Amino acid sequence: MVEDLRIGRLPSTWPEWTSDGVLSCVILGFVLLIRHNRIKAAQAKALQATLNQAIIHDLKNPMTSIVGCISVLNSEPFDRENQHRLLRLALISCRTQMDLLETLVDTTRMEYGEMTLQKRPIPAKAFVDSCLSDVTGAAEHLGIRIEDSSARPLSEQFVADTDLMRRVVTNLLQNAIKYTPRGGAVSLGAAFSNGNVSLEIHDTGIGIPQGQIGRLFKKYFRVEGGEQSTRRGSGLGLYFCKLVVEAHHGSIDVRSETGSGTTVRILLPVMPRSSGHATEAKRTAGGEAPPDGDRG
Amino acid sequence: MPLKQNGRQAGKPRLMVIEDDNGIREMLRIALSIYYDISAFANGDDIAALLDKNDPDLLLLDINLPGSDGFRLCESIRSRAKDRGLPILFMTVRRENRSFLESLESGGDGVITKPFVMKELVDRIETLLKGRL
Repeated sequence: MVEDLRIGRLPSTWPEWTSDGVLSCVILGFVLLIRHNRIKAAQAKALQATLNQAIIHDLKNPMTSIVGCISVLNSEPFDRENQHRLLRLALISCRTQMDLLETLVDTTRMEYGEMTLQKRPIPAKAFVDSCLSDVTGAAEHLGIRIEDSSARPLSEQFVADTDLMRRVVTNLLQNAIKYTPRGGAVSLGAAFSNGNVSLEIHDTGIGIPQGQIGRLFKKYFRVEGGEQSTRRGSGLGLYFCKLVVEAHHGSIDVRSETGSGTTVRILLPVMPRSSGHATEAKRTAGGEAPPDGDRG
Repeated sequence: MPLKQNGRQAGKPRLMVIEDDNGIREMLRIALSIYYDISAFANGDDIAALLDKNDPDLLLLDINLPGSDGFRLCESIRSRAKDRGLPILFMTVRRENRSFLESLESGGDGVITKPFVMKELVDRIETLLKGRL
């Protein structure tokens, strides 16, 4: 009995070898599992820190423009034209900041299935005009032409959540403007066929590397490499667009060539199959399941 | 008050801004034009040619830039004998000491953290310009 309890005793029979082997494997398995979880936790923490940094950057840049414009208007006697330009810049930056905050909140709401679509008929012509007018000021400021590329006068309607769909298209137009150099053009056009409406956003900008197009709509993805490598972004804008489009039973795809420009096409059913609820989006857009409990 | 002339020639001091954010770049271009001759660019590709062409008295340089970041640009500027004494003021959204230390290591003369009020920026620019006279 005393001998059995001695530490360091080697197993003498095969059942003892087997049980010790199993025990060793279980312990090794636990050690590996703990190590794996630690690595995962460290990676998640690093990713969260990077995202926080990106979001802070995205919020602080427009704030810099707003504070700069207001502080200089408050202290210096600018002529009327420059007063107007500074105020317009401040307004554009306020809007950029508001858009990011809304995207942050609404992406979370859609992932948690807490956003119900308010679908109603939208006249296509009015929709295109309104989206283009949203970005014309910023584009003109940057020397970029804004065009309606619809092939013919539009008289049709399509059914969608007006506010959400307008934000999607405006988001895509702003992205196109961001990556189009001065003197370039950004266009939006609508076309109807086979019970679908197609909304195409095209730019003559710097394009997207082929290898990255497939990942564009992943959550937190940001284009890497080349000129775009250090352009910061939360990586939520395009993911939000995909969530909204898929909640409308539509699809979104991208064609691009580096140096020649990019076309993003949204295809939506003119009449949606159901009233639609944003929860459907999270299943198809690769959204992460929300943690249990906290739905604040 | 901003200086009305620099050490090399009469007129407004020349300021070069490199900032990739369109809103901030345009704001700086308009706001600082009261005090300085401004040239503003979205990136520092071919920085040597930009400096030769614009011959600035001070460079206002964003740290996060497409292509070469601000630190690398600063190092490359300092490697040119002609621009070794050019005052360089970095702009960043980070409030970390690391940014400040990195800016000094790369050859910069200071860092201003975004967002900033214009008076704060002009005061920093003026201090650096006075040191150059």
